[in-house]
Amino acid sequence: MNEHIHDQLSQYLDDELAAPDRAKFEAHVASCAECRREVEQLKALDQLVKSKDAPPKLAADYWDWHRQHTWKRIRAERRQPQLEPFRPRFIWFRLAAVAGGVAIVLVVVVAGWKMMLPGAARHSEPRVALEEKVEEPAAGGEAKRDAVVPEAPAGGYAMSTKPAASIADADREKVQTAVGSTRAAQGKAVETGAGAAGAKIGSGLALGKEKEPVAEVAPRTPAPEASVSSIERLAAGDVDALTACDQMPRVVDIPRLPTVEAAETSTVLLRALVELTGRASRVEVDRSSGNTLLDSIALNNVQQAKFQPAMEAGRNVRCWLKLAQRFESESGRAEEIRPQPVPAPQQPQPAPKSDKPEQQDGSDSGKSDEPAPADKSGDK
Amino acid sequence: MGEPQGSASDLELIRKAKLGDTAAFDELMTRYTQSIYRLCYSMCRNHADAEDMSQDTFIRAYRAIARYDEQYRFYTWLHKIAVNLCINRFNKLKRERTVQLTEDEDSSGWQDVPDERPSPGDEDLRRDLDRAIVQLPEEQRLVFVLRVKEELSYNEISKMLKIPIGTVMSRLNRARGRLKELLKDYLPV
Repeated sequence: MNEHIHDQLSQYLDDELAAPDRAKFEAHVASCAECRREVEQLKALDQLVKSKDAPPKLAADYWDWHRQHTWKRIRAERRQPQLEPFRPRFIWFRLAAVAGGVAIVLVVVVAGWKMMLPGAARHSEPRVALEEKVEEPAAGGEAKRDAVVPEAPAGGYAMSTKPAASIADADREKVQTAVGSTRAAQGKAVETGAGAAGAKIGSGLALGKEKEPVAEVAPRTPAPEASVSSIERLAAGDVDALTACDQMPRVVDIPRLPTVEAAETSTVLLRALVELTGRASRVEVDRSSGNTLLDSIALNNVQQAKFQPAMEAGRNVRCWLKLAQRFESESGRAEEIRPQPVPAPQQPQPAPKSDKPEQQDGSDSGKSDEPAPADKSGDK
Repeated sequence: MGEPQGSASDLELIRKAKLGDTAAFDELMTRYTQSIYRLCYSMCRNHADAEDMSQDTFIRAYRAIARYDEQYRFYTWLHKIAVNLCINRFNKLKRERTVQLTEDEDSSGWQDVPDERPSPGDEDLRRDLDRAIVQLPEEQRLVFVLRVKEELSYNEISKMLKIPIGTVMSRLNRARGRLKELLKDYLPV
């Protein structure tokens, strides 16, 4: 077949050939049996696809379910916009933005600090060099130290990269007070923590001690309470910093998983912060399956699951729960979510008056601005 | 699909939906869910993805209904959203290269309730047709579906996919050539 004519086959079939080209094409096809056969076959192919290619037949009530589920997702988006599916491609942009912000702040702080300090050049020398200066003869060294000790800005922070020995008495006192109060706070954290929590915080303290000889930032404001730091760690999802509770949350209801064709059997490990309402307010992927689509499916599913909240001393408490979602390669169907044996609850919260979890989901409460699902099972 | 006789027109419903009437948007969903699902299924060849994408289409439409330009047909607007979602999905799959769209029949089970018993020959034909279309590269499949099933013109496809008309033609030619090979048993000799 003529290559030029062959290229025009689709255009001819789709009625996209200009009139002169169409006439030429038809003239050629009339005289060429091979091209005629090709045209007939492609016409039959289009017809076949139009008439026979269709999605699987779905149950009549499927479309009601589809519509209701769409509304549910719309409501969930409005209520918890932060629970978007895992989107790894944005992480680099976010990290870059955060890194950029940190860099700008650092530049501004360093520049501002240098401008405030007379003889800043000497302060900007590496710390090792400053430590060597401490060993200089007392008289000369004292003079130099006097020259470089800055006046702390009023109401700000006394900040120095000098060793503790070279700090003027008043400043040293402030630094020691600050370090002392921080130590006390951290000690409190160790006391309040238990088991793994204590060990973790303890190792954090050990690191802190290594840095101690260098006076860093001596805030004039009181040091933060240890409990604040623990709460921050909890908020950051540091599951290992938590103690176990009497009764872990249980999965009560979880949506049916879609069928996914996966290359191999894999498991996603997740953790969910189960609220008193029986819903997970945060769900994170602990260990990826290596397949972001499967991770995202598992994540979405846990976000929609309903739990029995954890119990601690007879009260419902918020609690992190570790979960494993397994995807089978053979059938492509995910197994039921099953809790892992090593749970980790969050700090106890005041229990609601009733043991019954609060209903937050608009669909469950029956109060919704969306219309009640009517029996509408078909395109009109 | 479309406006049932004696009921409110799409435009009336859209205007109500723009004012926050969720019942009106619900009615629009009822009218177009199946068409959009069919379009999504044609493109991604997988029930779970088609379900997700068709729901995503309506979620996006709901969010953007205030910006809907009334000079276009509502279905055309939804269609465009669905195709864009599909393109994004294909691009994502291409980047990740971690999962393949299924080429088997949908196996999710509970939805798979045929309302008529097809003849064995018909069943084989549907399965082979599905497998053949699934084997097309995504970009060829997309152009093929938009042209053959959705009956868009080359110009419309070119604008929708932001590719030159020449590329539309070449993809279409390659898709048809490949399908002809794969389905030769069902085509005239």
